[in-house]
Amino acid sequence: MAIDTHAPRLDETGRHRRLRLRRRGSARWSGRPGVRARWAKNAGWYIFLTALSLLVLYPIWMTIVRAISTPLPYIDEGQPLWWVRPQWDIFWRAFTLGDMGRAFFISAIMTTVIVVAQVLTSVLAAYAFAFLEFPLKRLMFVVVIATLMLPIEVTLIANVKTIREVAWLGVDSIQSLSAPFLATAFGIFLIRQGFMGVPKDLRDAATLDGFGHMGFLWRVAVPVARPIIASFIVVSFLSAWNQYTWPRAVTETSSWNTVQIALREVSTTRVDQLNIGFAAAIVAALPILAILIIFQRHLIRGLTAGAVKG
Amino acid sequence: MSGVVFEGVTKRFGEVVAVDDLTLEIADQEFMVLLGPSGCGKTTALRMIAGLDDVTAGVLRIGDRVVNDIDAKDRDIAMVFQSYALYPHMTVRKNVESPLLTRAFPVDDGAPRKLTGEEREKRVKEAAATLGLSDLLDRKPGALSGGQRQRVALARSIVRRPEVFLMDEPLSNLDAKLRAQTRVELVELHRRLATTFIYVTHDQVEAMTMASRIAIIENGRLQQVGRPQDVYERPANLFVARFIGNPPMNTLPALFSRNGTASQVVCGETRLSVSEPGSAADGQAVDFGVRPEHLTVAADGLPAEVKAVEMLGHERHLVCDVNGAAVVIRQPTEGAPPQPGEVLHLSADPAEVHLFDAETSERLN
Repeated sequence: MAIDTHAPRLDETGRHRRLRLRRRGSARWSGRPGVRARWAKNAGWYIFLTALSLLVLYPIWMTIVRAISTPLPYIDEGQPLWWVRPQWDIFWRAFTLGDMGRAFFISAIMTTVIVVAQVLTSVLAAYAFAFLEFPLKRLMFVVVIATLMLPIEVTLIANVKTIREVAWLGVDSIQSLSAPFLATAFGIFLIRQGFMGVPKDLRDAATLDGFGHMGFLWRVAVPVARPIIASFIVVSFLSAWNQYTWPRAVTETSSWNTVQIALREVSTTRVDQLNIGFAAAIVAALPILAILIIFQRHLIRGLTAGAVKG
Repeated sequence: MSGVVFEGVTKRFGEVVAVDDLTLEIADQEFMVLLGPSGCGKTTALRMIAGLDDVTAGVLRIGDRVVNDIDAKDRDIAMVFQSYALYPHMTVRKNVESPLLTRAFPVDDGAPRKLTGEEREKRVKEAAATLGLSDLLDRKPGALSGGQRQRVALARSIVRRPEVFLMDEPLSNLDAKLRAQTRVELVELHRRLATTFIYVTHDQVEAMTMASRIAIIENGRLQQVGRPQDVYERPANLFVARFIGNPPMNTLPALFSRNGTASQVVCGETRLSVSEPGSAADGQAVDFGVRPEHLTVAADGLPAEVKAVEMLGHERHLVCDVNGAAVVIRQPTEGAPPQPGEVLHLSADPAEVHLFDAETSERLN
């Protein structure tokens, strides 16, 4: 059989694209009225978007400024936009202050347990809802989705009671910190949507290739739905790391403080050192920033999945 | 190596009958094309062979084995999908290797066992070389052209050396030029592999050019099975007559007339001689059909007003109006073409006039 790599055609396309670009480039400087109007319109958009970004970035910038500045001189100067007598070691001091380091450790374990469990349970449940046929499937899915409507406050007291009654769980333990969050309707819903986007032909091809349910799930469905699963990991990490109400309800000793509780204690007990509260808040947000940077590419693809024909 | 046999196979989806009492024998090493319009049940028939759809009634055999209740993965078949169904996250190498991962294969005439990584790699390389993919093994499907993806899909099917290849409109996503080229390559591949090919398409050109035999299906029912030339020359009914051939056969309503030993059809004021039909009665309503290349312009015959002349370079098509129906005549390009509005008289060799029962649509002569 003849080998046909279509290389000439690809080359041609590439050349056309370059030509088009060059033509557009030359039109930009030709000074025609239509081009100038487009540039004015673009400039307007950029100014608008820059203003919006400043609005979003302002509180973050001010948190950094207040963290670095020495509190009293900063207030004396009239709280300017730039730092006053900076203390660069403030972040390290915030991290090593009291039980912040330990709280980081507790939060990290709790978050890891929650994220791993949520991804596992959501992927398996989503697979069943997306690919299997069983009695009462629709009704069960509606019930699962209905739990999305319940805020944590509704189930809080019942859950705390359960934790206190079941000996294995008990207060001050990783089990009790993570138990109510091991499965989530949001994850099931989101990943199911991702799986529904897996073409039927891929399922058929996997069947013919001899992959069973587990083979198809891990070899095909999960990799194909990876962007959505990645965005779910970010969302799951964010909500687990930022939890405050639940850890507060099931911890009694300060050695089991999570980051958010420790942060609250730092900012309420160190009123004389205002800046250390700000610095602790920044340190507490660093893991989230790291996760966002790692998953950024997937996150954008996941959130726009289905919206943009790819 | 083995053939496939449908014995009274029916497939229902709720109330809808997709395949209706299909009986068809596909011989070992045959290139059988299932041809029909969209939604006629040809793909369902193919999916039943693959084991992707259950058989509602009847018996389906692959080789000597009744496969009605055998899982898709345990049937010795491979399938090429219309969309190619390549795994988008895997490289070409992994895609081609995937059918080898879960199954046991007989190696060196020994008992079947799972292949080792080396054995799999060897088979993948062979399949890739057969289809000219050796340089593309580390690319992902997204970085390939349509034609290359189609080759990867073919490589994935040949790598497991199945008894039967199933192909569901594999050329429909290619451009016209590449399609023509791939048709030739598929016939060549069939010859080299010497295996049963079952190929589904709605494109009669693909069917005519590649098939050893064609099975024409409409509304879930088998209309005719035969070699391409036989189906073209002796369509079993009006549907096949109109479906096969491009431009399609011209068909017109008429009355059959038997005058002594002479058989004729009466269409409007004109009488045309036809070859003797076995069963038609004098005065019976019929449809008669003539292929565009068998209509000739004569001094006397069926009056036809020229509506348009289509020049194709090597030939021309005259689109005419006969008693309100469109009739196409295929002519060589010699001489000046008739002008639109001109009235021609058409005749045809009686042996080339096909006669169909107006009620049952079945062939009469």
